[in-house]
Amino acid sequence: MKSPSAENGRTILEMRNISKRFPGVIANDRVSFTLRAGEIHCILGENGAGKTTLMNILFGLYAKDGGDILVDGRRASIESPRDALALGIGMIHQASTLIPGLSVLENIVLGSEPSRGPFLEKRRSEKEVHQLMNLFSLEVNLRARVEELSMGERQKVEVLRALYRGTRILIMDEPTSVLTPQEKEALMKTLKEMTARGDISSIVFITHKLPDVIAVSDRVTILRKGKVVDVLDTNDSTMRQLAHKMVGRDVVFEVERGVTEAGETLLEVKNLHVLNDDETPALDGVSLSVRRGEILGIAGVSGNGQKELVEAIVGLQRATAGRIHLKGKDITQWSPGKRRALGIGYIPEDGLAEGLLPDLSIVENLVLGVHSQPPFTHSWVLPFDKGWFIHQCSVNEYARRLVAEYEVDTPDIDLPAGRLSGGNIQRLILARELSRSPDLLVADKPTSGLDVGSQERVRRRLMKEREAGKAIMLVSEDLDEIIMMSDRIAVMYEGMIVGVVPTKGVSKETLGVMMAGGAS
Amino acid sequence: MMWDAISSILSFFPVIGLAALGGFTSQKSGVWNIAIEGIMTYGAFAGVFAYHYFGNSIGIALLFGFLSSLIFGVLLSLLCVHQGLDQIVVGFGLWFLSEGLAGFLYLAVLPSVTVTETLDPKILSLDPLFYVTIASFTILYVILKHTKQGLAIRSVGENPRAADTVGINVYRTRWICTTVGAGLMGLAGSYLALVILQGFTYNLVAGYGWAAFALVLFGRWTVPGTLLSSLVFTLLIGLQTRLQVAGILVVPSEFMVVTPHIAVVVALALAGALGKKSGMPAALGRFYQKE
Repeated sequence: MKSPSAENGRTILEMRNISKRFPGVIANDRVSFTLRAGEIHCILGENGAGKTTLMNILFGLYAKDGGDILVDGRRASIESPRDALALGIGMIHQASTLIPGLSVLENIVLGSEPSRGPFLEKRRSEKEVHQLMNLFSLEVNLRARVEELSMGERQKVEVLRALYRGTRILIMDEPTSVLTPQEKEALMKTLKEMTARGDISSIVFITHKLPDVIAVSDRVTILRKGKVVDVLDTNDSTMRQLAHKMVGRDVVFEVERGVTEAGETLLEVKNLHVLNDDETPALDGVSLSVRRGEILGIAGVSGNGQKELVEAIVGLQRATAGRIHLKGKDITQWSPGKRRALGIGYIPEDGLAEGLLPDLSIVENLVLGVHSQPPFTHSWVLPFDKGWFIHQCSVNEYARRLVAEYEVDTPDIDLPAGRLSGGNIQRLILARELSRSPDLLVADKPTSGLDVGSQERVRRRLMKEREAGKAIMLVSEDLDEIIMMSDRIAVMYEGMIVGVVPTKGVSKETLGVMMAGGAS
Repeated sequence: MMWDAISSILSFFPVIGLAALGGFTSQKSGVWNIAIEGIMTYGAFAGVFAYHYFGNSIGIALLFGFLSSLIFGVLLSLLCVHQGLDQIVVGFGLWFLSEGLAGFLYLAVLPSVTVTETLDPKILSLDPLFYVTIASFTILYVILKHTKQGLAIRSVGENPRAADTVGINVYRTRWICTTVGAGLMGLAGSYLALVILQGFTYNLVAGYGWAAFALVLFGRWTVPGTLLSSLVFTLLIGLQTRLQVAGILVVPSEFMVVTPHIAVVVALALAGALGKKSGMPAALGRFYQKE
């Protein structure tokens, strides 16, 4: 361990004019980046700005097309993660690279296991990791399998693994996206302490979340479309300024909420029970209601039953007990198709995986679900043909209209939907769902993974629907979003709703406590 | 007398055990090998072929069966581990290739051979290969649980990208497991022909390869599980035969032919019924592409 302060401020890593091309895009265009000892340095940018690409080059996962990397002033050739690790560069990826089926200990030592001959020395590695945990005051059960851990604990394991390998430059790619507010705060505190003490020299923190930048970093490098826009001291910058630089235009953080009169109760869920695959309860008696003209926010840490609740309402999961009423009708046993026909729209969490058929064209995706109704069908030759054929012209026209109305940015409506960017995919799904003008819209994390510009558009769209008297159920882990959008907030914890509070006057801290299982 | 009966039942165990172990080894590293049946048939042919042409030694014949079957593992690795072709499609092709090759060569180059040698020394009147099989299970267990290489195998089967980032050679690890796995399947076939049936006939594997495949699933991708399911399967098959021969169990002889098939169906149904948390390697069947 090095003494801290002595060498703080010195440049320990420099990336000069890094370029990287992928077929059709320039991911990094002569990007330069410097990292000083003792700092936490954020790389801020929208999705697709080239943040992760840059760091993957540094970690040896991608080969760069041009530019130099200097570590401690010396030119370094990094061709594989191995080279990076040897230089003391470690990376924690966005998608966890822990192996769920192995134990925590095995995960931490994997790749540099203490061993005698071919045999693992479990006791020795256990002792070493224990020392490490004491030193950094990080506590995890080493014998547990990773799949049993919470996301916050997994993040700790990732950090421990990096420390175990003697990392001094730690790259973290969107580390907060799966954490509760409390876990996030704890992580940031740990990171700050580690750099302050000099346990780790410096941390590169990739994010597109502005509050993270303000909370954790000393300096920030902003990327847009593969180029460096600016490098700033965090203390001298404001969220608004950062957002402007990141997106290239002013961003409205607050979505204007019109005054609406909450109308009749549209959705009523009573004492709903759903089981997990392994027969444990996923939903344990959930009751709630949503009225016309209101947004009910569902807050909670991921995995506390939100997904099951949403899927039970749209009809993708079977309720083992309880009732679901929509417009006064008991729809508990109805098929998803029948529920849609009655007026449910659904925006799934992972649009690409669950909302779309990525290999089918934009047109086909848009018309899916209404394709069997006039004017999209037509009868042809056969006398008994009752509209078996799809009327291509009217389908195309319909798709073109929706693409324009919902601002889906695409050169061609016959393109496979999977080729669109995240924001466009989400707009495409919104277009399909809202064009049917459902009375109840169930939105499961509709803005997660989107950049601020796209988020803003989605939120405005939802708000418009609310004002048009639709009922909306909005699931989100982003508390700012929940508070901004909702009229009332229901907090879920372990398959139950721990409380429903009106948004007015509620604080993030209160919600955070409720999300962790505390009473309101 | 009693032991004679048991040992004659157990002498069938290497056929099932080695084949299942071969499938297990491959699958644990993340590669399906669905050609077990075909590779066993080829191994049976290769064993008898080597016995006939290389000096009537069962030991050499078994070794030849093992070694020459490795080629199917190499093929599977080249096409699926390195080139990323679909493992099921390629496995299907390999099954036909190996079985067809055995059938063709059998007709083309192999006269009718009757194996007269036996493998010595026998311990408790059981063939040495019985102990080799048990030892293989034990060794594999120790490797997986207590060595670096074992940890590497488990991690490439679970999450190859994670393994790659910590410096484990994903391709080599999978390559070795798949190849050794194919060798074990071939060895199982050789043993079946040389020791159990004392000769080669076409279709001699008769579904036992598929049974072995199902037993890996039934054993939940663990060494003890696979060992246990293979043993139980061997005992059940053996018991059925004995009882039938003794006239205690009266079933039509046609029934004998479908026993492994029924066992496969039952094993798969049970494996399914036991729950979804199956222990299947998370990256099983998935090609790992380096970026």
